Amino acid sequence: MRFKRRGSIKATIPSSSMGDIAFLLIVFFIVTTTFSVDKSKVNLPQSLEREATVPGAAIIVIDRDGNVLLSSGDKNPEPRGIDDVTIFALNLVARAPQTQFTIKASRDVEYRYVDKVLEQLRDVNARNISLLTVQKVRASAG
Amino acid sequence: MRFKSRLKIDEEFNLSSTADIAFLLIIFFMVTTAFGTTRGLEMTLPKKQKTQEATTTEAVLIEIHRDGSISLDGMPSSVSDIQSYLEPKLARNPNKFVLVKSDLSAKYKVLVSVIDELRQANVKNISIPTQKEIQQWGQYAGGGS
Repeated sequence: MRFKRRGSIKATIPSSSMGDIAFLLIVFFIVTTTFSVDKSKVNLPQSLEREATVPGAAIIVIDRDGNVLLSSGDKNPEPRGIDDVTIFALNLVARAPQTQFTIKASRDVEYRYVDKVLEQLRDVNARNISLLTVQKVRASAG
Repeated sequence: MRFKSRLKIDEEFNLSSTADIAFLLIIFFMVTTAFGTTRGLEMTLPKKQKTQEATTTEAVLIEIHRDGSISLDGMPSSVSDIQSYLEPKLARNPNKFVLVKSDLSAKYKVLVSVIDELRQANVKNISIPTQKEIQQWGQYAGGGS
């Protein structure tokens, strides 16, 4: 007995919507991407309480030896003298009094360097400051 | 006269490579994206002209010594004692001033851990006088006596 041959079925995966999904993902990444300006490596102190810093804030980096690097937030911090903080902050505060300053100091730096920076920021009436930290893991009760 | 009809040409864009390009872009963004926003302890410095005076009789004084040890109102303590020490004082006066005075040679991480504890204890008024201010206070105190 001869069976009747069935019509062949085309095995294809519909990929017409693949491009749409991909472009949706691209839009998501474009919106959420923030290119990190500051690339300085500093061992930050730890804290449990942490708030998100304002993107684009001026950055004051203090490494463990007390060397200071400054950036207005749009480029990588550049090495400067610790006494230059006044003129640097004054320029920014004169343009925008609510300028946010992020202090990125090494956990092992002596407090004298941070004190000097804070003093200069106060002198120019810079008010909004955040001390950058990394998340501290809460010690378990056991 | 009747012309012979030509072969029908399908009019469509070739989109087969669109997905490839899109996925290449996705990979680029996935590699370069930094989701982790920077975080830290927010502080608002007082205005230079309007420095709020925290009298030492009202304020709790936390001193950070050169070796990283701390004292609470002159009594040797540890960072973990701060919250329990402040709790009854804040219950009586939620606006209690806390003065943090650090030795210049002390490590910065100790100051941060002290501020962190104060934040957890919900201290509203934290004062971290700079060395210049401490010297000025000393002059005033010396002149007054």
